[in-house]
Amino acid sequence: MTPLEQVDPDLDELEGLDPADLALVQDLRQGFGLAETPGEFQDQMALQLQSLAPELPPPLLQRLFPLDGFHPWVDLRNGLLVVALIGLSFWLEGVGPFRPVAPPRRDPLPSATTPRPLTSSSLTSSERNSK
Amino acid sequence: MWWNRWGEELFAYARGLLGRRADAEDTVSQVFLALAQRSSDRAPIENPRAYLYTAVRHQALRVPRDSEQPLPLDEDRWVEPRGTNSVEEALDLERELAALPQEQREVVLLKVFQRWTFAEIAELTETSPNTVASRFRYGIQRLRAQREEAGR
Repeated sequence: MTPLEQVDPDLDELEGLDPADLALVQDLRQGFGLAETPGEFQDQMALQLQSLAPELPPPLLQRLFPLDGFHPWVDLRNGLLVVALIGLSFWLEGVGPFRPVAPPRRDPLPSATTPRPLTSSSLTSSERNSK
Repeated sequence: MWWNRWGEELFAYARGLLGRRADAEDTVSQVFLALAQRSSDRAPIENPRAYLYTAVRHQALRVPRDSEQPLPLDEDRWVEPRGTNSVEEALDLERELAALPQEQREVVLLKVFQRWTFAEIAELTETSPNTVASRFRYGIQRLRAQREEAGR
């Protein structure tokens, strides 16, 4: 395996070359490289791009508060949505299926003033007849 | 950040298209600054690397120039020697590359030093992979002829 095969995944594209041309490609790859970006230019670009960054709002913020114009329908829709959600939450708490249920009332113990339950023996004869 | 990721190779590509360091700096910075100010309403960039290369290419080729003329060079090297090669050899190669027609030089640089495939170069240059392969072959042959003529 040649050194070119070891480092170059696109060797098949170079296979059609004349052997002398292929050798030149190999020599160039091994013996030379493109110059790096000058340090001062890198720093200058990084600073310029950094200075622009705060002017750009985060995507979510920009989506919520678009700076490129007034959107009355979007604002109205969002407002109605909020009102509807608040209304729904009130309904669910107050009259809806999640309404709090009062604890069951317990009957008081019978006392002297409490009327006795009606039994057949306590009915009058007319009442018994009417039944 | 795209600048940190692809700035270096884009600068090298721009040097290969334009020659002078100042021209390459102008081109690359214009592309990145325009991108930074790009409206977020526009469609998201799906392939940032391809987008940046295309933008740099369009910006660089906006400068009217005879593509058959040798590339203008300045005192800043854009080819670096490696291994046992000397700075003089790098300067010679720089001049030889600069003497190639722009179409051939672009393909040779992308293929040899940045290891792009012919299909990728074809997409960037809006040509067919076969055309790219021919340009590469002619470019390498011409480069070799220059080097043989100079006794290298």
